[in-house]
Amino acid sequence: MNCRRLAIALVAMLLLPVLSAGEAFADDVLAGAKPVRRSLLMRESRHEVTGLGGISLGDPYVRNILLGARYDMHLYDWLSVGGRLQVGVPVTTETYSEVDTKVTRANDTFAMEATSLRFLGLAHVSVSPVVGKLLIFGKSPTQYDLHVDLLGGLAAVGSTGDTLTTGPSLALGVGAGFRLFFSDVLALNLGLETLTSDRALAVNRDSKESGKKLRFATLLNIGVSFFMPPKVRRGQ
Amino acid sequence: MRNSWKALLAMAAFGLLFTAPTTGLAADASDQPAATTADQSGPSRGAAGSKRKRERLSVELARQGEAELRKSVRVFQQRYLLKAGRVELQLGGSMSIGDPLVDHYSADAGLLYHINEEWAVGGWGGKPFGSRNETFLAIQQDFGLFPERSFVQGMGFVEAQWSPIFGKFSSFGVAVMQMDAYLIGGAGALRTTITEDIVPAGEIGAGIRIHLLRALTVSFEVRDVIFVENFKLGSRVMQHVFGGVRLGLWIPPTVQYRYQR
Repeated sequence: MNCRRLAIALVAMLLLPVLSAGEAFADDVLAGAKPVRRSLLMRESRHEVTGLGGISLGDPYVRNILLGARYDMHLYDWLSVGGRLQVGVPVTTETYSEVDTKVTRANDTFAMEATSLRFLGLAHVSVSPVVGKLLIFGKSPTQYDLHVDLLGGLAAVGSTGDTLTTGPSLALGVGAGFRLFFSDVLALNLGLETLTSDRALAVNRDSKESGKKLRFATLLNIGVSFFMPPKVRRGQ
Repeated sequence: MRNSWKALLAMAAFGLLFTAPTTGLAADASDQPAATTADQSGPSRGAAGSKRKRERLSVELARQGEAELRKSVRVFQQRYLLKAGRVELQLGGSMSIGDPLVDHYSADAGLLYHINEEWAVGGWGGKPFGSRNETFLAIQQDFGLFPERSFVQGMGFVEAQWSPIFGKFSSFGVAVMQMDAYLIGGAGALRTTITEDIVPAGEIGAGIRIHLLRALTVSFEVRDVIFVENFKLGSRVMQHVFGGVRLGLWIPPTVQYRYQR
């Protein structure tokens, strides 16, 4: 599992040398000129409020549906700070039911129980190293950016029963997101994050807590962002 | 966009019309004194020298004109990498995402023919290496259950690629690069550790291709491989989502623009 996350991080890091290459336009007639001029500063000195809906990926027993909101204060076009609040709704998986059914056959006193993320309160620093524009179907240009988030805060761990330890846990994480602007004030936000929490995944066959440790949860979030003030400035 | 190109072409044509008579007039004007000189001072050396001078001037004027043209800013930036009629050889790797019980790492290779700037057809094959993950082992240890394992052993697909999105990006204003984004749909076959026979499979996916050089791209892709697995307890539709990176080597390695700008 850790190898997989390391591989994700390596893939993300691949983008940086790609961007610094800059060889693509070496023979352009504007070689030597500033590559980006009078760009639209879609984020700088603006406030962003995002309505978020998310889901955890790869959970074996309980999937977390996370609903909430995120706020960003964009200090520069490439840097923002902010926070988020999300409430988790647990949904048990097919594996959860299978384990419950099969283990109960051998042990009548067994009751399946697993943990979930009930609440997230996180602060973040977000850097947008990639900004650009694209054409969809060869029509109207649309602004977009890729951003990397560092997250820190608290996660409230819940349980589907009474045996497992619940309560607040330190949550640290990293994420990457894609923001697509529909207009000067409206954007679609997609994010993939990995977040730690100290918890056991489930009880064992003796209905006791087993394997409590710092675990990663992978979260996929989608949201709609509103930017204020509505006016967008241009760079030099 | 098309109208704008027409306007650009019309402007270029207008420029040619404007420059051609000017050059002609200059030649005519220089012809007159040359003829006079030839009449006055003999036929050979003066005329030949004047002709060479005219040729040099013409060449110099053409060079200056081209240089001026190159200095002008294009209204529409040319696509750095043209795809139409080119073959893309893909080499890369991928890994399964979000599978709760098993991990797959795959070595992939593919070949695409780009029919035009939006559509491509081709095929690819992958050799996945599967393993049980921590959760799988925990189920065995904690519950005394032994889930049936299904590892993909090999897979191959023919596919079509549609690229409706084209764009560019920069990083901190340092460099500008171009990219395109695409959707993938394909059909093929694979083999798993449970089903020794080859079974039909489908795939859907999406990707982003970053144009590094005219002969080299890097693509980030997500593919959902779908098939029916025959477990002992019954058949079940399986989905393996693979996220991966592929380097694209383009043949021929250079591009030929239809218009200079």
